[in-house]
Amino acid sequence: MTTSTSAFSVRQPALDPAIKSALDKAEPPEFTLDIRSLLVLFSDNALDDWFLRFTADNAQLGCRFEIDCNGRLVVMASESRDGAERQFNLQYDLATWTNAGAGGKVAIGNELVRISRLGRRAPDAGWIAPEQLAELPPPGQRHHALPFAPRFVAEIRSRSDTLESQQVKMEEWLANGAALGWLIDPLRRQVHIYRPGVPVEVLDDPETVSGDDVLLGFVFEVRRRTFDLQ
Amino acid sequence: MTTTTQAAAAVSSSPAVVVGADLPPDALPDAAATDAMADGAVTDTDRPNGFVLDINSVLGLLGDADALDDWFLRFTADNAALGCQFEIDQEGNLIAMASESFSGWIAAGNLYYDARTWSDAGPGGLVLPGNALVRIAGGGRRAPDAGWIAPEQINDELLPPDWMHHGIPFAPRFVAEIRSRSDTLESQQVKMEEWLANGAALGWLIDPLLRQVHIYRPGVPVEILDDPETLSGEDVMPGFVFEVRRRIFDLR
Repeated sequence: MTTSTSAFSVRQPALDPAIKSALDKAEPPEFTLDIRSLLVLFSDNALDDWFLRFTADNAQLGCRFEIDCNGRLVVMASESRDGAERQFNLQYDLATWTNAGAGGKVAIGNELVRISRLGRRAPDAGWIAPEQLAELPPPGQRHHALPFAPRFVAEIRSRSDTLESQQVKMEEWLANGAALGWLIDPLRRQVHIYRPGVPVEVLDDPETVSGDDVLLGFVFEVRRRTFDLQ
Repeated sequence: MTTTTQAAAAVSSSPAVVVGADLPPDALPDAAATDAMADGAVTDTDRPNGFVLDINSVLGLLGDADALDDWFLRFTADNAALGCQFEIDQEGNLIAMASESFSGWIAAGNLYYDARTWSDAGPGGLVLPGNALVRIAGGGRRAPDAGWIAPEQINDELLPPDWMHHGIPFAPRFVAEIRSRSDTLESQQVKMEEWLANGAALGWLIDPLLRQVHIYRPGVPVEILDDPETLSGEDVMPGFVFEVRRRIFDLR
C-alpha cells in the first residue's frame, strides 16, 4: 500500500532471499484509510479528543489505531503475549534506569503522541526527558497527546507488523524530534539504530544495545529481554 | 420450489474483519488459504477485504446531509486505491466491502439491463446501477446493487434541488442485493431490512451461492425461494419478470 521511500541507507546483512521475502511480507491484518477529509475538521486538542473517542467507540474490534503523518488511519492487530512481554521488558528496564537517577518519564504503548499536524502515533516504548516534561502542563492536567516525540523511542516489530511499516514509523519519530530510535526486530534478531542525520545502523543479533549519549548509562540486554524470551 | 421463512435461515454473527464466515463448505473459495492462516503462514490473502468502523464521532460534525454526501464522496475517492466499496449503515458504521468479482458485476449488469428494458418499455422511472448513493436514516449512505426509482418518486417536493449531485434522500421503490463471495448473508439481510425501513416496497436478496432469493415486502415475513427460475415484480413493478436462474445463477 505504501511504497518504500526511505531516505536512509540501510546496511542489510546477507540473508536467504526466500527467508527475506517471507520476513518482509509478514501477515498484515494492518490496513490504512485516508482520513484527511475528517482530520481537517479539528484543531489540535479537538483532534486528540476525537481520536480518543473514536478508538473507544471501536474498542470491540480489538485493534490498535494510529494516524500517520500523512493523515492515514492505521489499524493494527493487538499485541500477542510475546509482543507484550518484549514491550514490558524494555519499559521496565527503562523505568529502572530513570528511577536510578536519570529522571524523566517512560512512555508506554498506547500513549498518544502528535506527529506533525495530523498524525497521532504511539511508541512501543520511549523516554520523555526531564526538560521535555517541563514544557507540559502539570501532572494531572495532561489530558491530550504528547505534543512532541519522546527523546527516545523504540518500536518492537511483531508478527503482524511489516518491516516497512515500522521503518516508516521510525522515520516519522526522527522527523519529529526523537534523538535516538531503536527498531527491534525479534523475527530477524536485528536492531536498527536511528539517529538524526546519519544512516541507519543495523546490528545483527546483538547481545546489548547502548543508550549512547541520549540515555546516558542505559544498556538494554536486547537478546535476553526480547530475542530469547524465557 | 419450496419456501421457508427467514427464521429458518442460518445466520451467524462474525467478527467485523472476517467475511464469508457463513458460507457452506463447498462455496468457500479459499479453504487452502484458511488452512495456511491457521498454520500461521504468511499469505497475501490474510488481508482483510472488509471491515467496519464506528464513525458516529464524526457524522454529527459534517453539517447537513449535502455536506455529508460531499464528504463521503471525497472520502471514497481518497481511498479508491484500496479497491473497496464503502457504505455507512443506519447505526453510523463505516463499512468497507470487497469490490465485486467479475461474476458479481455481470450479474448486477444483467439485472440492471432487464429492469431498464422493462422501465423503458413503459413505466419509466430511473433504474439504478450499483454505487448510486442513497441516504438512509441516521446519516447512513447505502448503495443498492440494483434499484428502481418510481416515476412518482422523481418529484421536486421529495428531492433536494441538487439531488443529481448528491445521494437521493429515500430508498428506491425496489432494491436488489446480489450476494457475492465476500458478503456474509447476515450483512446482506441487515441491508435489506434497512431498505425496507427506509421505504422500499419490494426487495430481492439474491444469493447465487445458495441459489436462493429472499423476498422482502413491508410488514410481512421474508419469503425464501429455493432455486427459482424467475422472479416477479409483483404489484411494485407490474409486468416485470426477471429470469434469475438464467441471468444470475447459471452465468456462463
